[in-house]
Amino acid sequence: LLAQVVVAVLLAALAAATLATVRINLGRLNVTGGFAFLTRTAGFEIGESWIAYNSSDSFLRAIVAALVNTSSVALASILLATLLGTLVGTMRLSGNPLLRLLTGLYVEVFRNTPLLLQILVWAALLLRLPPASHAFSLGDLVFISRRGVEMPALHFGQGGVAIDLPERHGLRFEGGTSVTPEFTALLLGLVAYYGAFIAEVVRGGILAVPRGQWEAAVTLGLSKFTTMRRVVLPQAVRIIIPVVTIQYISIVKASSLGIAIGYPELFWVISTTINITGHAVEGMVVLMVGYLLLTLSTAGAMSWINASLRRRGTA
Amino acid sequence: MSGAATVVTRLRPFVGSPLNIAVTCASLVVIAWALPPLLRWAVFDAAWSGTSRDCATAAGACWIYVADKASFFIFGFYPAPERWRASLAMLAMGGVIGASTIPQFWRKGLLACWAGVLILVLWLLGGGPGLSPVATDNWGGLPLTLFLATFGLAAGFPVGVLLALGRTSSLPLFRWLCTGLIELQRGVPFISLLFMASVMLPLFLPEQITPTKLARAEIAFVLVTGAYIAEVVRGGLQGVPRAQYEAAAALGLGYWRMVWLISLPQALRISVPGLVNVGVVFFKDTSLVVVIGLTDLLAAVSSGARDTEWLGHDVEGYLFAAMVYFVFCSCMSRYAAWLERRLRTRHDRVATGIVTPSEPEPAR
Repeated sequence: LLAQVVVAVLLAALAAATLATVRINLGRLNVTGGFAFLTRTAGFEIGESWIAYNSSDSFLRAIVAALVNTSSVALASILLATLLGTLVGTMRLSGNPLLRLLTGLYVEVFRNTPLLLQILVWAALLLRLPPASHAFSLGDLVFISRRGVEMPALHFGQGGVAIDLPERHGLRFEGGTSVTPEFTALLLGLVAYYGAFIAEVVRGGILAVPRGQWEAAVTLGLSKFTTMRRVVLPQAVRIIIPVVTIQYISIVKASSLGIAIGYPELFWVISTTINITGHAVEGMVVLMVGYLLLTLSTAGAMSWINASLRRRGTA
Repeated sequence: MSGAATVVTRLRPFVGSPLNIAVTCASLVVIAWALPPLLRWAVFDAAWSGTSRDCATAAGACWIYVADKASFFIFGFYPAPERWRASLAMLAMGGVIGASTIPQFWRKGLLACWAGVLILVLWLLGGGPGLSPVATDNWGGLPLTLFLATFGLAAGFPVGVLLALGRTSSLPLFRWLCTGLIELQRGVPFISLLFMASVMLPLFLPEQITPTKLARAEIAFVLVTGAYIAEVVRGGLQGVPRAQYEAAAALGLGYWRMVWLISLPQALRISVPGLVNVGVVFFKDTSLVVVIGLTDLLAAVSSGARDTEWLGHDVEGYLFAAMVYFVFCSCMSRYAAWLERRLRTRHDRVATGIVTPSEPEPAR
C-alpha cells in the first residue's frame, strides 16, 4: 500500500510539472488551448471524400470526412484480406506441392518486408499504368488507368436497384463510381500484406483442429470438401476469430500509412490540422480518440460475431 | 523398375486426382504467365553496366541506378570518410544479435554484453573520445535502421518486463496504470506515436532540453516496443505453473526475489519466440521514422528515387531495400519458428514424464 501511495504522489507531481511546462511552452508559442478551433474554417482541400466537403467547411467536418475515409479503406481491406487470406491459407495445406510452393512464396515475401515499402511500390506501379485516354478496359465496365479505377455504381432508389455504368468521354469518365490511385495503392498494400498474415492464421486454425475429427469424418464417408465445410472449418473458425481480430485492428491502425502516399485519412487530416493551427495537444487527443473509437468498435464487432457463432454452435 | 516406381510416387501429389491435375495445370499457367516477363525485366532486358543514359534505352530494370546509389542507400547522409565507423557499428550490432540467438548464451551476462555493444555503437556512430563527432541528424541508412531496432528493442525490453509485472501485480494502482498505458499504446497507430513524440515532446519538456529527432523517435520506439513486449512477457508469466509461485512463497522469498529467481527466468524462456516476432515487427516498423524526417534505409531509397538523373527507376531501388529487409526478417522469423518447435518438444518431454509434470496455469 505504501508503495502505491508513493507512486501515486510521484505521478501526480510529474503530471503537474508537465502541465505547467506545457502551459509555459504554449504561452511562448502564443497558442491558447481548447477545442474551439474545431469549428473554424479548415481552408484545405481533401483529395477525396465520401461525404460532401470543401475547404470552407470546418476542421470538425474535415476530421469526420477523414474518419469516413479511414473506415472505408479499412473495411474494404479487412473484407478483401480475409478472402485472400482464407483462400491462400487453405491452399497452403493442399496436397499439391506446386500450389504449396507458390502460396508459401507469397506469404514469405509479403510478411517479411515492411508494409510502408509495399505501399510505396504499389503506388509507383500504379503510376506506370497508361493515362486515362488509354485506360485498360474490362468489357467496358471497369476502366483502369493512372487516374484510378472507374467502375459501375449501384443506386438504390424507390424503383429498386439501378446500375450506373462509367462512360469514356475522351480524357474523362462520366457516370459510375471511381476510386483514386491513392486509395487503390493503400488498399492493395493492406490487402496483400495482411492477406499473408491472415493466411497463416487460417492455416494455424485449420491445423489446430484435432486430426481425429478428419479421420472420423472420413470414416463416416464424408467427402473431403464436405469434411472441410461441415466439420473442420466450423471448429477452425472459433480458433481463428480471436486471433484474426488482432489482425483487423492492425489493419485499422495501419491505414494511417496512407499519409505516405497522400490518401486523406485520419492521420493525414489531423497532422495537416496541427500544422495549420498549432494545436498539437488537442489534435493528438482527437487522433487518439478517433483511432481508439475505430479499434474498439472493430474489437466489439468481432466479439459480437464470436459470441453469436458460439451461441449458434451450442444450440 | 524401382526407378519407375519412385517416379510414380513422386508424381502422385501433382497428378494423383483430377482436382490435382487441374491445380497443377493452373499453377503452371500462372508461372508461365508471370515468370518470363519478370525474368525479361529483371535479367535479360535489364541494364547492368554503364551510365544513366544506358538505362533510358534499356527495356528492363536499371540496376546501374542501384549500384550507383548503393552507398547512399546503405549509409544515407553519414559523412563518406567516416563510413567505416558505421560499418563497424553494424558489425557490432549484428554480432550481438547473432550471439543472442544461441540458447546456450541466455544468461544474465548477455544483458551486460548488450549494454556494452550499445555504448560501443553510440561511440562509433556519434563520435567522442578519439573520433570526430557526427550529429545524429546525419545518421542514416541501414546503420540507423539497425540502431533504431536494436536500441529500441533493448531499451524496450526492461520497460516491457516492468509493465508486464505491473499488469499482473496484485496492487490495483500498478495494475490499472500499466494496463492503461499498454492498451493506449496498442490502440493507436505507431506512426501517430512517433509523430506525437516528435511534435509534443518538446512541449512537455522545459525549454532548455530539446531532444534530437533521433532521441524523440527512440523514445517512441522504447515505449511502444515496451507495450508489445509486455503483452508477450505477460503471456510467459501466465505460463509459469502456479506451484512455482506457491513454492517460492513457502520458501519465504519476497516479491522481487521471487520475480528475479523464479518467475522471470521461466517466463522469459517461454516468451522468446514471441519476443523475436515483436523484433521482426519493429524491424519492419523502423521504416516509419520517415514521417518525422529521419533517413533510414527506406527513406534513403525513396529520396534516391527523386534524383532527376535517375527518374523512373524507383521500383528497382525499392526492390533492393525489400531484399535487405527480407533477409533480416525471414532469418528472424525462421529462427522464431525453430525456437517454438524446440520449446514444444520440451513440453512434450514434460508431458511424457521425463521432467516432473506440473499443472498448467488456468487462463484468466
